[in-house]
Amino acid sequence: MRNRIKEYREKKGISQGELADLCNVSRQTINAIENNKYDPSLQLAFNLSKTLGVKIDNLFLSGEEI
Amino acid sequence: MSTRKIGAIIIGAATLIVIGYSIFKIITGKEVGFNEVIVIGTLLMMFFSAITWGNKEEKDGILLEEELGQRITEESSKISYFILLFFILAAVAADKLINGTINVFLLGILGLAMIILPFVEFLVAKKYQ
Repeated sequence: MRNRIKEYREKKGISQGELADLCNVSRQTINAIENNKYDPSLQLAFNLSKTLGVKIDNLFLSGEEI
Repeated sequence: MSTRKIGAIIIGAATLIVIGYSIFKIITGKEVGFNEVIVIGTLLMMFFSAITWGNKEEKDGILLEEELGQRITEESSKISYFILLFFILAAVAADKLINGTINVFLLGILGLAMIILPFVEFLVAKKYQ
């Protein structure tokens, strides 16, 4: 599942490590999600959406949008 | 250097020492058996754990308790199960080829190993039905 986490994280001016701390995961998890190597759970997706202040459907792209 | 890396170096060095000592024992004709296998196995287990999992305090590496860590554990458990099954099958075949007999205990373990996964899956699936 493609996502725009990197784009919104950079807009907010925070590093992968800072986002990881805010979502209570490791920096490696954020890196894996940003590089589409790992699809997060619904709970983590909601956490990311809340932390970045972006609607979840704007953060994650469905197949048709790719 | 992080605690994880220091730990991995110490455990790695200890493993090499024990492996070296075991090789020395084999060369000098001494018996190598249960103790060596268990010690080397335990040290390698600790070494791979140390190089795989990170430390929450030091923010170094993937954490075992986070969801990516859990995913890694799940995937590797399934892969490990099939690799282990293959090795047990190979051990039964090797015993038959080399000794001309079939080790009943090993065959029993092979049979048990073949049904353990589907049986546990059945039990876990019952929880959701």
